[in-house]
Amino acid sequence: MPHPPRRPSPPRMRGFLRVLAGLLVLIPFSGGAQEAVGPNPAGHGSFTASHAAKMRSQTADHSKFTALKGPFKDGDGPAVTRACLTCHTKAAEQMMATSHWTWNVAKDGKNGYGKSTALVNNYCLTIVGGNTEGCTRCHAGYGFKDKTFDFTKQENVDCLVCHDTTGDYEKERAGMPNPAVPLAEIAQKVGTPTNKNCGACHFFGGGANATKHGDLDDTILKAPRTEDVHMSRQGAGMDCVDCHTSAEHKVGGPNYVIPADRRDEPKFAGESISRMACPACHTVAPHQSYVLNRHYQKIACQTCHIPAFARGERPTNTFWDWATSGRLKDGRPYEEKDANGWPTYTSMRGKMVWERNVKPTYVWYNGNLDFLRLTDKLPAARPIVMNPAEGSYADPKAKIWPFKFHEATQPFDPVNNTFVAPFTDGPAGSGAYWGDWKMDVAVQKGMETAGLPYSGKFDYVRTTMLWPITHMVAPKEQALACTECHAKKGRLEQVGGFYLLGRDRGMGIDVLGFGMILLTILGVATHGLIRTLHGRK
Amino acid sequence: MRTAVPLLALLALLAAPLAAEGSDTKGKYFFKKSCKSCHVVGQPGGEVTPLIKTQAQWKTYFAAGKHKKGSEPLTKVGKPEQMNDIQTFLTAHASDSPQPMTCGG
Repeated sequence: MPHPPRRPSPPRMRGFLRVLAGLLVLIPFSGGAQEAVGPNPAGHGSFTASHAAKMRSQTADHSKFTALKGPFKDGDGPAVTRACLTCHTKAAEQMMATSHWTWNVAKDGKNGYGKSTALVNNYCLTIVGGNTEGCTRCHAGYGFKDKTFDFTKQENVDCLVCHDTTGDYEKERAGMPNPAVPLAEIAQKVGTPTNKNCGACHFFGGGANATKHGDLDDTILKAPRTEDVHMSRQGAGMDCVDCHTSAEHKVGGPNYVIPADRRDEPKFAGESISRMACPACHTVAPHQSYVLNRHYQKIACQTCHIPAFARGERPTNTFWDWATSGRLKDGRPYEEKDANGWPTYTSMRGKMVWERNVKPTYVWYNGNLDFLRLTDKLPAARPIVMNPAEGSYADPKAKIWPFKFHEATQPFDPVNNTFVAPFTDGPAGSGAYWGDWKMDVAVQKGMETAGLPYSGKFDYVRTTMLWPITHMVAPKEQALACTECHAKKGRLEQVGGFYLLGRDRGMGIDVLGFGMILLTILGVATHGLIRTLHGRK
Repeated sequence: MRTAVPLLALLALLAAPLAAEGSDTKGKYFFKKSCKSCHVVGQPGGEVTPLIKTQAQWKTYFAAGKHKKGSEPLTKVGKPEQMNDIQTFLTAHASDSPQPMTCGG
């Protein structure tokens, strides 16, 4: 017997049932999707999911390759590189064309913009005065002891420092692996660089953790989302290489000659915009407010979204006083520390100031910093700004950027009017400053080794160095409020060249405004006076 | 006299492993891996750096071979050859050594 035809549901009911059915179908899928890609409730992206995806995309299990089984002799890094090159035949050649290898870049035909040549900073100063062996533990190569290093030998390229995934790799003087490092084990587990790989050097700039940059230190590896929304595992869980993309081993990023803020231009083939530009992910109009979006033309995203740097547990160095270094107690070097354990004085470096949660200094910046080299004559102004930022309001490529200003005193040659390169890193009896504690000897020796002219006289001079702040982006709730800048004595008090609402006053407008008020009062008063006079009549 | 030379050589050979100098560089690596995983500021064991003892004090410490205030032998922390390297590193950079070291400032 056929069923009686069911009474069709009213249209509204049908719509409701459809939605319900749709929801029932969707729920299991959306649940599954959340597990797999897991949008983080605290932000978007997920460290676990993105790393699982990266692991899946690998096409080779390096533990299967006999070349990598070794055994390798203790500390024999070049043997590992030879093994890598049996398959990756062009890798060393590519790597050798990059500044990670040469430590030397040219600008406008002028050489010497690199650590291996005439570059100087106001932390550990420079490497060319005989300090190469100590400093090159951060060179992506093996055996860079002095200027005789063979930059053409492929087996000298250090593959593991960037591709170790175990965290067990460690480099020693001249960049050689520590002989205790289990080379074969590491070689069989190589992969895409993670924050730990880049951080092995870039977190430790200036000689120790957090010292140099102010927005890069090893607290990022375990940072809460409030410290760095991008790299925190509770945030987007991103790796350095997610923004610093590379091609042919050339990692995207600014250096002494590549400008930082030309990021809106493509860097690699196929890019419409550099991956390092915030808009590559966030678009050029990420705010709901038209007024905020307009700020993008003249204000770097970092300016509002990084309210302070060194927001991790580690303070960054803001002052380094070489002039007070070298004091000894009972003929021996010593250290003084503050209540938190940070050195306020060391014989090796002098007085030091360490700070956390530092408000940046803001300047117009088009991405170019003009570095002074050891070979350049010093300007007359004091303190000497070692790498002034290029840019102004009128420069269409310039924006207001946040910077760490690092202050120091450092040795220079007052006769030749140049910076000097003291020999600091060496044992007692070698003439090195950290062995014999005599700056005059150390400078003399250093300048000889560097092959640079030295008058025989040195003195200390006050210097400032600029470090652009771009990492440690804070959650949007912590972005600067309008009145942080649009106010008198606000953050942009010193940034000149333009009219800033809330900060500046214009004579013309003031005269016009006050004039109108005055005229109004005058008008009312006259009118009143006439009325009163007429009233009397 | 003729027998004395091989005897002396034999003695020297026997004594060699006892007095074997560990590797300062390797010691630094094992020290970071084995010791610094706990011995940092704020942890129960307290911060340990080469600087906290003199060369003689490190020698005494390793001769006693006790860890966790004597509650366990030092060999529980790592292999004997690694301990030897660690001792060499700590002594080489002790507070009264020619190159005192804080190890990661």
